[in-house]
Amino acid sequence: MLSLSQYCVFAGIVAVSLALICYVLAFAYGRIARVRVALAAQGSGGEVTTIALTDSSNGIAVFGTLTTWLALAFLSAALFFRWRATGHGPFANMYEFSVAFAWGALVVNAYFLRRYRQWAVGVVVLPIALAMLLYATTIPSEAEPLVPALQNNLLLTVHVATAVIAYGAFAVAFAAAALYMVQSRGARWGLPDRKVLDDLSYRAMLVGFPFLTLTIVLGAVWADIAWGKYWSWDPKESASLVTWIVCCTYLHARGARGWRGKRAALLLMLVFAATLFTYFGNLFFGGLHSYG
Amino acid sequence: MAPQVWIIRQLTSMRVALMLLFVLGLLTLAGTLLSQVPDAIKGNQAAYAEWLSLMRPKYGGWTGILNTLGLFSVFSSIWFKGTLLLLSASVTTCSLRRFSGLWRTATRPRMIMTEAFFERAPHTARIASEKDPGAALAALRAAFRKNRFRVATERDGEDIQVCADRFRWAPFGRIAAHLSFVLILVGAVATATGGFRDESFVVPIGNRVDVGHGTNLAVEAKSFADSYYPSGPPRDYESRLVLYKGGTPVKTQDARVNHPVRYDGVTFYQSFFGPAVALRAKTSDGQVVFNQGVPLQYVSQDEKDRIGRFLLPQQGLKVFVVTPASGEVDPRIPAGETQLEVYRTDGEKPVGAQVLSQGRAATIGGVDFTFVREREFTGLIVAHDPGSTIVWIGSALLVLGLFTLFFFPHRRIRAVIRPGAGGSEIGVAAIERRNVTFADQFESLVEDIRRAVSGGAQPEKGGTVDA
Repeated sequence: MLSLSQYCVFAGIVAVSLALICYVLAFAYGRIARVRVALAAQGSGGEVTTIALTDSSNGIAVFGTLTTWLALAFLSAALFFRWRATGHGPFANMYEFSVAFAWGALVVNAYFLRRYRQWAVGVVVLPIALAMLLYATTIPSEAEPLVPALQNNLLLTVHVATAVIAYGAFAVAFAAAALYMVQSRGARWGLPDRKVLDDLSYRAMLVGFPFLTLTIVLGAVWADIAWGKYWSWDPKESASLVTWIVCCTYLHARGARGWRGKRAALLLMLVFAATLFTYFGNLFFGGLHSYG
Repeated sequence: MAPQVWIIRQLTSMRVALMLLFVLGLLTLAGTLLSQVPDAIKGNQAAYAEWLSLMRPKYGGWTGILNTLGLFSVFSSIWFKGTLLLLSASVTTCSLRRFSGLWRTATRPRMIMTEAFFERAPHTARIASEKDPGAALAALRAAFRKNRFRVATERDGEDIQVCADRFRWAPFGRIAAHLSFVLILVGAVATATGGFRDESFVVPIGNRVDVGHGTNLAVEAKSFADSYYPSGPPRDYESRLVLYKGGTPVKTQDARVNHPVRYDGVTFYQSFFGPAVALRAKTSDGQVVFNQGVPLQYVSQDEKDRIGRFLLPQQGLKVFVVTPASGEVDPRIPAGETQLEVYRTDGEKPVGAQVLSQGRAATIGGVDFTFVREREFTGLIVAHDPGSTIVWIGSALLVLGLFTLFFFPHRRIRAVIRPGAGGSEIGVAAIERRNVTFADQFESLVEDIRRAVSGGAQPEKGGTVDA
């Protein structure tokens, strides 16, 4: 079962890579087509206002989207087999958490893909998922038995699953913000409309923030049960609080002060930086989360 | 401007709230990145100075500055507490101020909208119907109900104004989430100032130890077992505990990691364990003055020995019990033996010292000590936390508030029905500038309305509210 899980992870890596290649090709084809149409329009003295993607770029993008779903299916299967093999939620060490992080990014990406139909966001989300999967291949993947502190199947599963969804949502928000930032005024590079990206990143935050809050609260519940203290200022706890505070700042700045565009996008990038800091922080600072 | 007006203005200012969040974020980041003084040595000046000297190679010339700024104890610093206090005041003031507006929006919305609104709102639609206004209203109501909207109507001359809401109570999630922040802080203050927490509560196996702190509870450890996986990592630590209240046994339960024992508001967590030595002490007249396990809970500075201690107050003696630590060799103390060092409680000079093997006795300072056997002790965290319940209520409120607010957003759609040529004219409008995907939802709803008003519904009168 563990081998099956690993095969699925490798299949997931291949599928994510293929999807990424498709998206990049679709983007490139779209760009070339736009340049051609623009040149033709200049030649004929016409004015270019809106240009649709060519059929070929759309076709490749659709293939990329299908492959993204396939990657999600492979990673879901990988987590399922791992769960069956170990008897607990597949979130107990950095290997499992990294695969789960990639899965979370793909799940949230798939949700927003259905809702907004903006495959270009995948051009940034997929490399993040791929990086997590490749990182997972570099660390020990053995299924170690659970140490006493982790022996709480329900909380282990729910606490980390909510974290995975939150981190995935922040990855999508970051992707939309990054695509927003690379568009200078008047130069869209064939990317989605900035207003759409701004809205998409905000909606992703509205998913991520409650899930991050739930993660922190469930972590406090678990800490109280296992260590007799709901908050110990452990580095991972503090880092997650930093992320939570940056999220709060973004939501208030956007909601009440009307921050949009670049300023909001920069804050979203900060949220994702804080997320990575929270994710990898325990590797540098130790503390109570030394296992993952 | 009066000072109180200025203060309230600052507390309700989003700019100030954002600055406070920014400062709080920076301080928390500093607390994460910089080494923090362990709680255990905060009150001990000598230990604190030693800890600072350990930090000097890491922080160099910054050590003194960081220490003066309180950045080695960020989370108990005046900066951190002050920021939290100001933020709580800001959150409370803003929430109270917003409450009446939210209440009015949810319960008494403005019912009459102008024609300009139905023309210029970000989302608008015009529908012509062959139905008369009464029948059109019934159809409209059915379409809104199908989409789970609550409908309120009001006559405006010949027009019927409609206000349809979905999740109209959801904005109160914002109030719940903000006030929960304050509640959690109140809980944290109650945790820090009330109750007790003993992180090194040691019970030798076979002994009963009073919990103290006015609880009238005592704990007896019947047994301790540690088990390991074949590959080496620990599998479980388990202590069989018997709790006594006023000398009467009231609960017997195994304490394990993730499975604490709770009784009467006091919780016992399995935390650590170690070796103990069972000793008996008799005076020269045969009176047994000590007969229990001594937990060897301390480690010598060179980490070669484990040390325990106990007092014989009647005799004015304190006794240190020393054995080699697991895997260590101490040439003074052969394996399996223990050394007793006896001191006067009022002095540092030793009365005597002797190495004993199991079952052997020795007389030191006029007291006969017998090394009965080797044992184990179990180490517990014993805590009574009056703040945790408040924290959990606040946390539940926070999570519920956020999920309600963000996953069930309030939607308000207006409609007006006017008598028109051959039936009615219906205007539909909504203000939802921020959500790009709302256009699809609005279109879908308008389609439902269009279908409904083109069918054959029964007429009804306006001026009612669906619950």
